[in-house]
Amino acid sequence: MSPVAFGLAMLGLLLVLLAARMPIGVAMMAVGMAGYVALSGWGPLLAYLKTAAYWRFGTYDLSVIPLFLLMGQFATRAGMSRALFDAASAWLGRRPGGLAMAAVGACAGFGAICGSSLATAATMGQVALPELRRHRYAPALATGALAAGGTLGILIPPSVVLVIYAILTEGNIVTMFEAALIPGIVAALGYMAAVSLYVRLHPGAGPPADAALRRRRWRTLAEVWPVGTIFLLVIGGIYAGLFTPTEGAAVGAAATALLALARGRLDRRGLAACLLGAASATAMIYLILLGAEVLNAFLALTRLPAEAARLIGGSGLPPHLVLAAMLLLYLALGCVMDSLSMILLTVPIFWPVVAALDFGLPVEDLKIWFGILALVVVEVGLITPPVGMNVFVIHGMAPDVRLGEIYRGVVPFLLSDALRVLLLVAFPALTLWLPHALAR
Amino acid sequence: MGGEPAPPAARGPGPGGWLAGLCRGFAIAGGVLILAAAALTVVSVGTRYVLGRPIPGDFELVEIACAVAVFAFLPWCQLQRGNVLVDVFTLRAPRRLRARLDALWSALYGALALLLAWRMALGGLDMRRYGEQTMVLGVPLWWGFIPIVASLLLLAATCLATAWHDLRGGSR
Amino acid sequence: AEVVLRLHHFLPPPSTAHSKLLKPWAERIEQASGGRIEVQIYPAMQLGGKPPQLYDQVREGVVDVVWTLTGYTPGRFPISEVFELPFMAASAKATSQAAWAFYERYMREEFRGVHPLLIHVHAPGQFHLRDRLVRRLEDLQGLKIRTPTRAMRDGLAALGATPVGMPVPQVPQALARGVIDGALLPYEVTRPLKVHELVCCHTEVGGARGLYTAVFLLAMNRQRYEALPPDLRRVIDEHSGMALAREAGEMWDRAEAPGREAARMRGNRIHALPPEEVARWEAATRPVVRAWVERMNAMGLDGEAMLREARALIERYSR
Ligand code: NA
Ligand code: NA
Repeated sequence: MSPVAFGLAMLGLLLVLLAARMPIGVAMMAVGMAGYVALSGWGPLLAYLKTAAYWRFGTYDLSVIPLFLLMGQFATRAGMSRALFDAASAWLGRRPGGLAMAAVGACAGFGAICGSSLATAATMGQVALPELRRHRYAPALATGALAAGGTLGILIPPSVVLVIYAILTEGNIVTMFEAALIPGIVAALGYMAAVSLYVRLHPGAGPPADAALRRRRWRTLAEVWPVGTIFLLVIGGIYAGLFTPTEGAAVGAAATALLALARGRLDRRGLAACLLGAASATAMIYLILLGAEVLNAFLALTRLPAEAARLIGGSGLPPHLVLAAMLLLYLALGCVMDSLSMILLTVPIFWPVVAALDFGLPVEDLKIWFGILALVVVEVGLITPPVGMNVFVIHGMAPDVRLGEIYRGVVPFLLSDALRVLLLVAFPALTLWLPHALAR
Repeated sequence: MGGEPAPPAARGPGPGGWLAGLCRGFAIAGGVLILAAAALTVVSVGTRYVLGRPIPGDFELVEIACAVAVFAFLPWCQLQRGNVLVDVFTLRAPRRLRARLDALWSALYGALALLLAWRMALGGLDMRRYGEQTMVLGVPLWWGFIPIVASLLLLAATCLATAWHDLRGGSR
Repeated sequence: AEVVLRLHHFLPPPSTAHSKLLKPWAERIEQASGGRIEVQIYPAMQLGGKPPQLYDQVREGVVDVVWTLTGYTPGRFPISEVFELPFMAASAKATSQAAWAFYERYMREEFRGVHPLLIHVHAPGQFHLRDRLVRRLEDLQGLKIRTPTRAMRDGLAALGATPVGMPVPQVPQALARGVIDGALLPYEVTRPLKVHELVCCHTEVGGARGLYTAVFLLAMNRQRYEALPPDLRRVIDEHSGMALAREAGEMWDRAEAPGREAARMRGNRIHALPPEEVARWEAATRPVVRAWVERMNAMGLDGEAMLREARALIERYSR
């Protein structure tokens, strides 16, 4: 069996194991290790395992995850999340689904400070999910909106994936961020439209706020100011260039802890509950990250992504068909791989192919446009079955909601994604206008 | 829910007793470490603006704290059944079958934890032998592997306990 | 192919290392072996792990060949740090050849776990500063500078700056937010990272000796190398060692110009320290060199003689 065929077979095995209730991180790790042994032997695997997990977990970029999760725990403890969503419900809750739209908006806001989708989904899931359900939102809508909203973490700059893309193609990181802004806002609006479509199809999935809460709406506003202050401190601090996102997360965690302490909510038991909550969610995410690392190392060894990319690159099809094939390949890979690995494995092969094709765009524009398209499509992979990382994260926050139900809730958001990809392909100006305007 | 995920409907909570207490203790210690990393970062931002210089080696200390803490979180997550799985295809399967599958995978996870504990113990010894250290503070890296290996051993024990718990049908 | 070698490294494909050194090297090996050896290159850590793991990956046979920075594992290669000491390095071409010659004499023990194919350095690095130009030693006081190596951590401290350690990909973001006031990097790296777009000024510490450099290693798994049939081993031998070090050094020297030009084109201020100022800096960092000699002495080696020889070698290959 060729390595490529073997890779495909092992991916099939992974699906079987997942269907048989194997925890996702464990399944990716087990399949990755087995494949690694088959292609490289036991010795290399055993040597690789000596430090792989240490360096995976001890990564500075990833430290925002436990920090933001801790911040979410403290914020909930201090009653901040409740105050925030009561206010949102009182003010926006009149229309059906209004609170879910507010949650999408909050994801977009959070995405503006955080470069990682997993961290966005985890933090917002922790804060917003209990609130949406307290306001009697249908589990499918609540979880679907947050899983999809989490992808805004990467779609709205700053974004880790774009940084890597820019480095791989020798593009300009700042220009890429500028180009991502309008598509990111379109994504947020599209998700809000998906919410509105959902509640139209399923009336009762997103009930309007009760009248009593609406009558108290000025009082709810008065209770939001601590959240507002801390949010401004973190976002403002990051945008004003006072500190990095990781530092912002640390400042946010410290500030919310102090607030919870000041409100008398952080006695020994309260603190333990917060730490344990953050511990469980952090461990869940990192186990998946470790599994993904091992699985990706194995897939790189099979050269499966590289071969598929080469096949498309050398096909001699007309430009838009090549582009379509590439985006479809991203969707297919996205079913089982994480976005960063896909970009790392394919862009070095795809970009030279794309650069040689004639889309009627200068090469620098083409680089930006293709990068944003790739970004959007790999992000869809976070919410497509069977391996949708964001869906898993949200499921970890709401274990009583079945995974199938979350995937069902995600469908309208996938439709919105599909529509957006078509828009971005048809109108490159959506991507290119802002960087051109700012360059002047 | 104040943060701890509610126990999943299909799978019961894990075993109790001293093992649960140990998992809890490890998780809280890891959490305190993350808090300390947050505090260190905040102080470093402060001294950067006030005194013009950050706390030396803040980046590398945060990295080490995160690595050690995340390993310490793993047993608690397993005890809480916090690891995500796909339940769509087994919804209609008999409860016994589901419990057996869960027990099987817990045992496998435990075996992987043991494998990692063994390999990382050697990895830590390598780091000690080669004198690997952080760049700015020169902190030796190997001692971080002591709590990490302990966490992995605890994880393995927890996995076996949860597997046993499921097999005994103690899910409810 | 009869033998497939997996080559793992940490930089993306457009980098000098990948496109100008490793890829051509792989092609030459394939050609010279008549296609019996195939070299598969995995850039950007595609096979998993973090850059600090590369050395162990090749030592333990996780992969067959790696290209890495010895400084990724601080403390592990104390002898090779001699070329990273302040005011040691000359051009990459001269220093790389000197490093290879020095390796053959003094560093075989240090790299005994692997089969080194090439040891080389980049062209001397410079200061890239966020919002003020450094003209004198006093200007550097208290500035937060990202240090590239352990030796320069001490070097920066000796110069009165505050050394900050962080992974290279963090540098642009840290510069943009004032987490650091500047970074020590060769121009070859500032262009792909777009550092020149985030800084105002560049202070060049020139002269016959640059402020610092960093040592790179291209190495093959030892057992894998020894298991090759003699004729294939000869192919590898013929494409490694001194000639390759010279070539790599030239490559990195050439790679400086475009990066410097990009900074100039953006209108950044570029200041070359005058010789009398350089002399003050050199005097200030002398204790760092001393400390290395003492470390060697403590290891039972003749630190003084080794330092003298390293300098003499650089001198010789500079001619
Ligand atoms: Na973002
Ligand atoms: Na997916």
